[in-house]
Amino acid sequence: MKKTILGFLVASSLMMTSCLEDIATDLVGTYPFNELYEIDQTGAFEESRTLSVADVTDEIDFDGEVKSVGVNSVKILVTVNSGNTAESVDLFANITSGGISYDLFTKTVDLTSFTVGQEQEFILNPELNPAAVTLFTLKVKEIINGTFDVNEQFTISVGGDTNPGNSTIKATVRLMIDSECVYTTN
Amino acid sequence: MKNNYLKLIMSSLILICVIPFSSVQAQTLDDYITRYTGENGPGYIKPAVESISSNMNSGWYRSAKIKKLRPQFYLGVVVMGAFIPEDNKTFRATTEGDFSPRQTVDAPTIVGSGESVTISGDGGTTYTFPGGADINFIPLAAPQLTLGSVFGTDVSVRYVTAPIGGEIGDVTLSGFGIRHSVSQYLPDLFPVDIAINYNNSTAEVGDIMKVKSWIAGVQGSYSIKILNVYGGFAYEKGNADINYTSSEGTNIDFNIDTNANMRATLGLCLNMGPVKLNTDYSIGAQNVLTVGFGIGI
Repeated sequence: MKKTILGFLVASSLMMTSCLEDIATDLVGTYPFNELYEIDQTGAFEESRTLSVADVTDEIDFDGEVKSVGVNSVKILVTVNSGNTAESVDLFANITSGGISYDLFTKTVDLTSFTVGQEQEFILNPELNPAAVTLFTLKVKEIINGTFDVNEQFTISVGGDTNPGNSTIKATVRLMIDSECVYTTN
Repeated sequence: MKNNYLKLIMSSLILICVIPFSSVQAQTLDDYITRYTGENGPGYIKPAVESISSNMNSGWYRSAKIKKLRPQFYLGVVVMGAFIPEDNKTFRATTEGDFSPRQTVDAPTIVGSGESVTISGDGGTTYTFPGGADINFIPLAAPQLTLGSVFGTDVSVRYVTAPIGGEIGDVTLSGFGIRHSVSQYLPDLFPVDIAINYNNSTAEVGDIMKVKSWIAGVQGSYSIKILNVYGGFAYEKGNADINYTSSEGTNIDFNIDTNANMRATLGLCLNMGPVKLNTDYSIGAQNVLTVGFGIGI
């Protein structure tokens, strides 16, 4: 009887495990770039962040070889601070790495409708430069897969110029790049 | 690495199916659910819920013969496997978040193709729907005890529990069933035993997920020496409640209703003294193959 029961359980186990055999599956994780740029400047300005490998890998929520990286959306959250005299700002974001540089977007933000401390969101997908998106995704993929050359700095900047030109901008700009990482598990 | 409760939910769903035999695949399956915390979540998970529900509604009987008043029992293990139909492999998924323009496409469900589906949006953006586990068959196993009979009625229970660790707690599968003989009201010359049944099953993962299902029907059986041919028609339904707060503070609340379905079952039971070996096949929303082994009188 014991043999019969054991045989039945083993057969059942084999049936089950064979149904759940390892299969390569494309899964999707995220890498959310989220940086706050403090701006207190008269005229043109540019604030930069250089990303380290850890800055990226600490933010991802998966393990596995990345097949591709894509950007789902880019947006900025702008807050005007006390003392701001700029009526508008011509904003841009820039992606630079390995001697290659592209503006991710340019956007004129009218600040006259802002109240101090109020945050306004601008989703910028239609204004994105595909070349900058490609550079960003390429570098994120290299970092996650461990092929990034650390001598090639990976820098994301936010800059702009105020209108009128001699006015002072006192604001914070939060740049959010929601990216997806397609990875395979088996 | 961040915790992701939803990933644990799906692995727990699968773990429910393999509690008695295997934990090999659970860790791998942890990764499947990351993408679907929003409106696409129910559509992605639903086929697995239907499989678990169909499985839980299977294997409850191997004969419709219930004496009017006589000690009867069955103690055994029931192994069920739901076959995933092709139309459960994809669902209509819609892009989420700030991706634009919003698009709806056919994407793999949790049991669908392993290949992801990527679409293009404004300004070089992309949106990817993940692949599934490419599963054609989801198994479930449970011990079962049936006791009777009083006034032509018997009751069955199933129960199995296993800790899965972490903050989730235990995975528990439980079930209850009652049957009542119709044959006792029919003339003795009627050759087929007939009974009606109602069964209710629950699979719980800690306090964050509960899959419930029920089935009610009529069953019949006919004995030829040591062989028992049995079958029946039934109506079944299931649902799942998923409610948790992610580590990022997002509250996720899914309620997934499976479609109400009819099912037909046909099976054979070999009675070798007290030892009973049976197999049956059910045709319904998801077809289910059942194998049972136990002892009883």
